[in-house]
Amino acid sequence: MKRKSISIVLAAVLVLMALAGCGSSTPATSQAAPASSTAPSAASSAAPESAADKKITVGFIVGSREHVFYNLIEAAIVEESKKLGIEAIVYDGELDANVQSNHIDNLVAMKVDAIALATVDAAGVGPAIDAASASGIPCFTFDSGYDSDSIICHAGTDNVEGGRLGAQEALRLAPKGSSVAMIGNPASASVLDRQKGFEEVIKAQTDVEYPFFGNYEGDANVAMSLTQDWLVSKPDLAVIFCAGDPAATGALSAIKAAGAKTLVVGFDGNPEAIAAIKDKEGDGQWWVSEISQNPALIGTTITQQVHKYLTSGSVDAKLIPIDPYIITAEYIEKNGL
Amino acid sequence: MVNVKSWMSKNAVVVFLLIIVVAFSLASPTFLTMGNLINVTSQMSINALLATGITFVIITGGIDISLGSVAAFAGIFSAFVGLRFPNMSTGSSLLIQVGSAIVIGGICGLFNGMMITRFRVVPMIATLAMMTMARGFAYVVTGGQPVYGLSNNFAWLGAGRILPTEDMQLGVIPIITLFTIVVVVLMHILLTKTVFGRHVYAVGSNESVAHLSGINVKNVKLRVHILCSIMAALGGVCVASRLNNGQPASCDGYEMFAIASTVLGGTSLTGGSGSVARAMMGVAIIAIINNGMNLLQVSSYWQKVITGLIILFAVIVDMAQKNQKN
Repeated sequence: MKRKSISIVLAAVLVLMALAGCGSSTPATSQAAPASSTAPSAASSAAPESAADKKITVGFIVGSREHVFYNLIEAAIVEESKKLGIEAIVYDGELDANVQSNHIDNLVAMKVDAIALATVDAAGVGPAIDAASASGIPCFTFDSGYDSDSIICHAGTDNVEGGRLGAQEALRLAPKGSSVAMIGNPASASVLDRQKGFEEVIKAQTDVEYPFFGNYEGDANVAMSLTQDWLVSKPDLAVIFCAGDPAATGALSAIKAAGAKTLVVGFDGNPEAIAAIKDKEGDGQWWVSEISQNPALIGTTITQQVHKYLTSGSVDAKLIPIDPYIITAEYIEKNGL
Repeated sequence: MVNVKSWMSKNAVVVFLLIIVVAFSLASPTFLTMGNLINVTSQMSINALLATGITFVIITGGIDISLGSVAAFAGIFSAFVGLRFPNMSTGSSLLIQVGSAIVIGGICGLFNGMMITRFRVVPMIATLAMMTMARGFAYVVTGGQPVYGLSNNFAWLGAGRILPTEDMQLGVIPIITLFTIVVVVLMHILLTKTVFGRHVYAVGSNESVAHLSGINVKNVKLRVHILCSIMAALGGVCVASRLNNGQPASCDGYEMFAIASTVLGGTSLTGGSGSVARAMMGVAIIAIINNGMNLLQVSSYWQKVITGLIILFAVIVDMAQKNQKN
């Protein structure tokens, strides 16, 4: 009997926990965002059809809610939508082209005014985009695009250029005759582009060697092990270019633990990178530079373009590059980040 | 000579480990250096903790695939708590980390155990649910952002070292290695020298016989799951401490490495047999393969293929030996 009551209490506690969890989930949108699930979730309580006041409704699909970068884009989208009076419905693409395609089908069924997404895999999600476009819903892409006439406008970073900037920074920091390494993730198209840009510049020069490339699989702990192993072979490794902030976090821990003098160039421009570079007495001794993508500007730009198209029927350009830029301690001081 | 042969056939995994070590030391000049071997022990630690926990569950004939997510949740939680104490000492940071592991691991393990023993949910499904929930909570707590800005003392457990020498000013022996050795040895004693340990084997060998001989089977299973989740959570706080940073995406898929290590060590998934010490052999094999291939600059794609093949090969050899004995 006692046992039974314990399990009932336990079940009740868990239900409460689950409810509490739902209450404080990821950044709120201008309406309750549909809960993310692998099954196509039902439309949120406020169905767009009920908007009798002709409010513009736009469906946004981010690459993944489990990525800081996309969370920053989403925050900017939500903020800009509020400003422009757009009803934004934001879905989580879960880094899965299938999930994204389901979301697109749902948004078409909901008869939204436009769809904007960061494609996970252009080939996989392409057919769903084409179908949505054919049914008369204008489609936009941000961050990662889809090369087709179905797309009205794309706003995103040129990741190859970002990789080149990373290489330039590495060459600026590495003394002649030393060596540099890169941590990347060939599973991700945008990170692969960064590797292309980086290697293009590094392989075109003879001042520094490039002995190591490693795949951290998006796991900071793997990046740490990689760096540990490299530092054993080459204790005087000058610079590591990390094509993502989790990789830089892992590399930094390994360098600190080994007492090495290796410098880190990160990529993303996430808050933890800014905090590390700022900390000149601490982590800023190693983590000295960051290639930033400007996720907020990507979110703001695409929201503005969607709004412009729906209100005036045209966009500024079919392709709007959001240039990556370099963040160093000087840059942070100058701009008061 | 006969003795050597029979020892080798009984300990195929150990022989295999030695072969790998010899092969890598011939291929890479850095592999056998002190610095590298010490690094390998620190890289092994996380998987060693997880594999130790899951060994208990697998011996009872169960499975737990929520390890990685529980580890991530506990790591995030410890970083989250640690952030509230910017001036913590190493002692209090250790207290926060171990405390978080016990609290989060305890809750998750209790939930798993309850679902399996009281609600009769199949272990695979119950822990699959926990796998997604714990990962979800890790994101809920942080809003998807890493937890950063922790005091350097938070990194003492994961990245700190003791015994400084001339050329290694920061110390030689990683604290995480010592910590893991202590925990794993305690768990080994628990499994081999206590009544509870004997009950774990009994439940895995034959549940109904165990029940008829007066063992509270449900209770044993519940405890084993709590133990397993606490070990996973300890692994997770070690990762957070190693990085001095709470990453919500961390430890993804680590349960598979833990299961593979345990199986490599000769623990059967049908339950009833296995040991923590043997699981450690599997942990060592996987860690050494990864480390050696990093040193040799083998592409990460091939690393995956090779790791998978080696796991299969080792298990096949082990099975062949067992069949010969029978």
